[in-house]
Amino acid sequence: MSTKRQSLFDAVLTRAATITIANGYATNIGSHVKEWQTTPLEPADLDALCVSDANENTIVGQEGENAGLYRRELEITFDAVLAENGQNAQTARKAIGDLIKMIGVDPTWGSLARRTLPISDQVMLDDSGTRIGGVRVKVKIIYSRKPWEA
Amino acid sequence: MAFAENLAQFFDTSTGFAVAAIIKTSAGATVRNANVILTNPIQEIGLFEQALEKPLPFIQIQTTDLAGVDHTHKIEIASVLYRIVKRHDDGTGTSIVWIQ
Repeated sequence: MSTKRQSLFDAVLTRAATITIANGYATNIGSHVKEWQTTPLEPADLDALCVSDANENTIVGQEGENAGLYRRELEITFDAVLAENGQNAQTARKAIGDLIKMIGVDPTWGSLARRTLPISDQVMLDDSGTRIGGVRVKVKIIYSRKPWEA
Repeated sequence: MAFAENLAQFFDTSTGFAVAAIIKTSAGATVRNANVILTNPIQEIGLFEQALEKPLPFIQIQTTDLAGVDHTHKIEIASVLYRIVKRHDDGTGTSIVWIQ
């Protein structure tokens, strides 16, 4: 049995894999989508997009939900690891744009959720001169679920 | 009398550990030839909570061979052209240069 959280995460991974230049995006980070990557990547993995869902918060009694249906906020973290072409963060900014565009295709993830809200996006560059960049985009997916329904 | 270290024996390409290198300007003009000791370890780069295993090569070189050389110069070793990332002169006549 697939839980709602699993279904949502599957939908996110499937959509993330569409981020390719051939599909009209600015990067190919969708070519190497990794779920919960906890071991080191290799250069052949670049550009990579690592997706994780560490936190889900439950909010009771807001936005008209009755006592039997709680609002859930599932946090999704997208970490992209990218090879930059120079001493800059141009690919990183493109990756952020691609992630925003990808989510905007359907923020309800095929009607599994009510909507998706942005939390933050960050850029980071390796300081050892390798011209490897990183991007972290956090969003939260808002959906409803009964208190003890998986 | 000051002690003068004989570094040549370490930077010898036949009896020492060195390989031949060519220091070039950013435009590709040769500045000088130098013998360097190349080390090419794979190390881990951390970005947010992700890590990437990547070679982070560096060379040891006689400091005198770096006269007039800055970060815009390139170093060619075994037909591979590297950028100069950073430099550390150890004060004994040798320097470490991190390259990419």
